[in-house]
Amino acid sequence: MPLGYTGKILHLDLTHQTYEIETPDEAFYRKYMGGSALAMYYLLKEMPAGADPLGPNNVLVFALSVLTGAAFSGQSRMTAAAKSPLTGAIGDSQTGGFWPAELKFAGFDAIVVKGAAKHPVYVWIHDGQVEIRPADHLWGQITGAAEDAIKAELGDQKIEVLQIGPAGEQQVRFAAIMNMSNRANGRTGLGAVMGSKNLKAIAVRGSQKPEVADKKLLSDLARWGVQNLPQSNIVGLAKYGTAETTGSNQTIGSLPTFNYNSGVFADWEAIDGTTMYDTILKGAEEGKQDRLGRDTCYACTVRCKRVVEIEEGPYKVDPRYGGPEYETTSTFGNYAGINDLAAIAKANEICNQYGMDTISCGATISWAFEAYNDGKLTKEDVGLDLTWGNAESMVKLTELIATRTGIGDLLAEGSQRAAEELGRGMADYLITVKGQELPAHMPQVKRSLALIYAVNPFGADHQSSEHDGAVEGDFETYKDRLALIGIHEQLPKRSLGPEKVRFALRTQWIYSALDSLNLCQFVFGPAWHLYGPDHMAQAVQGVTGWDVSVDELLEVGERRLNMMRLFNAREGLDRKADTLPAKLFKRALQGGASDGLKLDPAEFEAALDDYYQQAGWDVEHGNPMPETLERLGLTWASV
Amino acid sequence: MIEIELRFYSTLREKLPPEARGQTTLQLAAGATLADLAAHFDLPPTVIYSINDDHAEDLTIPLQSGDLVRVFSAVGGG
Repeated sequence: MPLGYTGKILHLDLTHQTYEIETPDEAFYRKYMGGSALAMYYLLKEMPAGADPLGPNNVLVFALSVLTGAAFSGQSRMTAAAKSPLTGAIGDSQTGGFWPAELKFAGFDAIVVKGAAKHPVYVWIHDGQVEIRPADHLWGQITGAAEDAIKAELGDQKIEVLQIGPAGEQQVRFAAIMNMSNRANGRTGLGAVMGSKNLKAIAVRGSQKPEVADKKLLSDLARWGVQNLPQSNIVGLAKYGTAETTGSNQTIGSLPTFNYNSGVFADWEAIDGTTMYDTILKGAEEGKQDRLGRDTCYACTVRCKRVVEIEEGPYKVDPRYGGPEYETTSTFGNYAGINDLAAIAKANEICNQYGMDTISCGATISWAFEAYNDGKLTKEDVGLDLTWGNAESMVKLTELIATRTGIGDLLAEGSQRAAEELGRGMADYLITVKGQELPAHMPQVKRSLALIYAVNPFGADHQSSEHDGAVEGDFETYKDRLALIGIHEQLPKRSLGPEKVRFALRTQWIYSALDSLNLCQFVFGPAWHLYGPDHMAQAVQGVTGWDVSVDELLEVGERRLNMMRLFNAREGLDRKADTLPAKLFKRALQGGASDGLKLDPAEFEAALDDYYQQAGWDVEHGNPMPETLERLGLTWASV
Repeated sequence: MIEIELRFYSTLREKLPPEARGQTTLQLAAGATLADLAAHFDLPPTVIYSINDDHAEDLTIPLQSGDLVRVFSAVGGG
């Protein structure tokens, strides 16, 4: 009997409106464990090379892990994966909420979606039953309205709804997949894939909680987390949200400002997490924001999610649509020199109503702002004044993109395609890797992050490895946990030699394991997190009964990364795609602690060589060597 | 004696009474350093400091009267 997982994979064929249920054996689950690794297996097996990301041959996978739905913090997450319409490479993104656990209780570990429906549909999954239902009446509705309509139609307010908004329907290339109307599989444009398949939503409800192997081990793990949370490094994230990092990023010169031309923003304090807590978090006026302004995911005691409510002024915000994370306050804030927290919260609300990635949306807007302020875009081009700091225009552009109206129709293609379309030197302002816009941690300051932004198979990502601080100044605090993944020495600030590359790669493997187990990267991780790598192994042991080690989990993470590289190799990507925006090498940052910093091309290329060698990939092309695939049990996937 | 402006952020605000909202003026002995400040408030080694909005990594440099010291907790991602 499966422990922790259902043993069932749902295969949906939207073209023929049919489905099948696969029951893989235990060895399959132990090898891939779930999440992104499991999704990669199905993408490599079932998608033809060269598929149009917005065509019926793209395969879209929603994958839980063996841990999803168990009773401890940080496990209710889901990976969505497909070929990305934004990058043309592998697309991959995780979300939290209650939908992941509810899908497990409804009877499935993953859903593999193929084909495309002729008309809009939604899928209703309840206690092992699957129905494909018409969704013409839901098409065009924003997330909150569609969620209400589905729950009313099915007669159960406890149903969890995963869906796209109008942006996904209109195939905005950075459209997100939403659940709870405020949680997102944000990155790589997977909402557009769902839209191209005419799949509006997947509603789930279930009561079948899988048995676990060792209830005492899991309850001890959960209790340890509750007891240690108040003294942990994530207690600030929990209370003040991820935007609590605004001030520390400002101080070290890693707060991307004016489209990545500076690492400091003079008005940072207006938009940081502490200010958000004091002002716009729901309940702040009465001092009740800890109770009213923080939300959570299934069985998680951390409660880090923001709930913003603004009832007065030009930007009213409905708490239903949550509140901005640090990435969002940055991309809609300092990226374009904007210091209006209410406007940022409004842009976040629009993204959650229409279903868009706030990082790519905000960074595409800041790209336009820089071009405008440099005279390459005009008011006639845009229809708006994009002078740095113009919050009203930022919010308006977000609306235009969400509805593909006016200049928004072009920006909905993402900044890289828009730059190609416009020409006139617009590519000089890009901050993209593989076509995906950079998140808000700066590679000029964090050199291992520079490497990971470049080599990550789905484009620049800040959640795919540990940041440099853990092995630089803070090493003594984290050394016991880092030792569990083979990192034993403090490294010099801003170094990018072979040892820093090793740090980048090994932490990339453990983060890759986190995304295969679908564990929250604030709750679990190799350094400052509530739980360490040993706890990850304990969680798998307690749920499944498998005697796994941290090394086995590292290998799961390595296996996932190799599958992603194989997917990209099939699509024709190689080392040439592992690069960074030209401006990061050419233009020195201005102001603050990072004043004068830029990346060194020779150092970067040498780090790439080191990285491929350490990963067991060929240095010329950056793709997995046959012996690496053999070691990882992936010869079946060889290109 | 010297007098500095001190600002704590996020959970570090709880080092001061709630009504202070993380802001206070503090008198210290002449020659006091960030290390002394850290000891006074029992601050963890991972916190990040700025003095007059410049990143301060050397905790042994004496503070000056009128300095604005900001103190942040540090985490990696987000």
